[in-house]
Amino acid sequence: MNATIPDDSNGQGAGPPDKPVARPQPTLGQIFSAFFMVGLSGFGGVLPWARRMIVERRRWMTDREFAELLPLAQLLPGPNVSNIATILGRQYRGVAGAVTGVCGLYLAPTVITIGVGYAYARWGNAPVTAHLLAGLMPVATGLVIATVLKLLVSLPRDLRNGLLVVAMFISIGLLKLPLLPVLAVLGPSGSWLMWRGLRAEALTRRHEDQPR
Amino acid sequence: MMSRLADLALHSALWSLLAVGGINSTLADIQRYAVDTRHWLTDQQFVTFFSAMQAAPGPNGMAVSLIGFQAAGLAGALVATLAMIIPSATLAYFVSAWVERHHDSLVVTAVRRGLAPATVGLLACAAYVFAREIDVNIGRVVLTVVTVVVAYRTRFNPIWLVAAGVVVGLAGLVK
Repeated sequence: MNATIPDDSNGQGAGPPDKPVARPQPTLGQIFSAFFMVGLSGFGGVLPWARRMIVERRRWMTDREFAELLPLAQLLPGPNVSNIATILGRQYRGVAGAVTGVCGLYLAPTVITIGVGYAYARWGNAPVTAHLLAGLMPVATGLVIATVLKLLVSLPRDLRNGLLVVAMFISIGLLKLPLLPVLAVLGPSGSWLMWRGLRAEALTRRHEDQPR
Repeated sequence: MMSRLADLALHSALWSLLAVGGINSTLADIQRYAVDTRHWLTDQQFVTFFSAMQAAPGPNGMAVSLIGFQAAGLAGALVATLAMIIPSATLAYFVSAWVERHHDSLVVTAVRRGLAPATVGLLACAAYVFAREIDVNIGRVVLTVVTVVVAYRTRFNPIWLVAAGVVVGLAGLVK
């Protein structure tokens, strides 16, 4: 089986890397302060703030590079912005950069959240809290529903996507099945369905490219 | 106490690793476990924490820290936070390095396209849990519907909608 494996995957002739040569090299301190500010300012979704900081203020990336980073950050589990901190920190400064970015991002929110925990324990049953939450909670609900609608219309309209959305909603939302086994079944089967489609597309394209 | 912290750590790590497309994807599962199975908090507290964290600075996942706080105080909050961050960040570190080298491969594209509808389905579950627990009277339903329309049709920063909701609440216009 392992007779000769030509070293063509990592060889010199594999083609030039398509990344720009000159990349900014922020220091650990700069990585920390940038993500600390993102963590502090991320009201109502952190991603727009992360884009503003990284693209507009610090000019570490172009808008396009940031947009290309997003699908990967969204594909990986966990908060998207946390994945951005990990990936950018890694690209700039390796392990130390990733750790610094993530620590910077979470420092302020962790302190604030613990403060909220104590405040809720102290004033959670006060009438003013009840009034405040009665207005805040329906708005938060509306924001989540609007996000769902925006994502729904962004999906390609075909049977596979429809089936997967409905199957997920029924098994988790209505039947209250545990997430781990459901995702273990629906994740790979969805990916397999999409892979079949992609492979068929690739084959047709190759077929069309053949000269007649 | 130690076993509760271990339980919290295990499940926070699990939730963050299953949170495809953001932590709200796992909201329904967190409710099932933390409220229905473990009784760390009530349904009301659960939706209060999650909706309040939509309005707080930082990643939405911080609601998990608040559940940790409710389950086991300060230690619970810290354990839940670290358990939420470390495994998913480690995964992101190694997988992103791999994907950057294979980003054109069919498999990566297929996984991305396959997980997209799963994420939407999970977020729909989160919206359903919110609406079921929160929109219990006509005033709240109206406020939610108005928010959906404004957030869907315009590009207002959500913080203004949250602020408007707080004002409406403090004025006593919704119960």
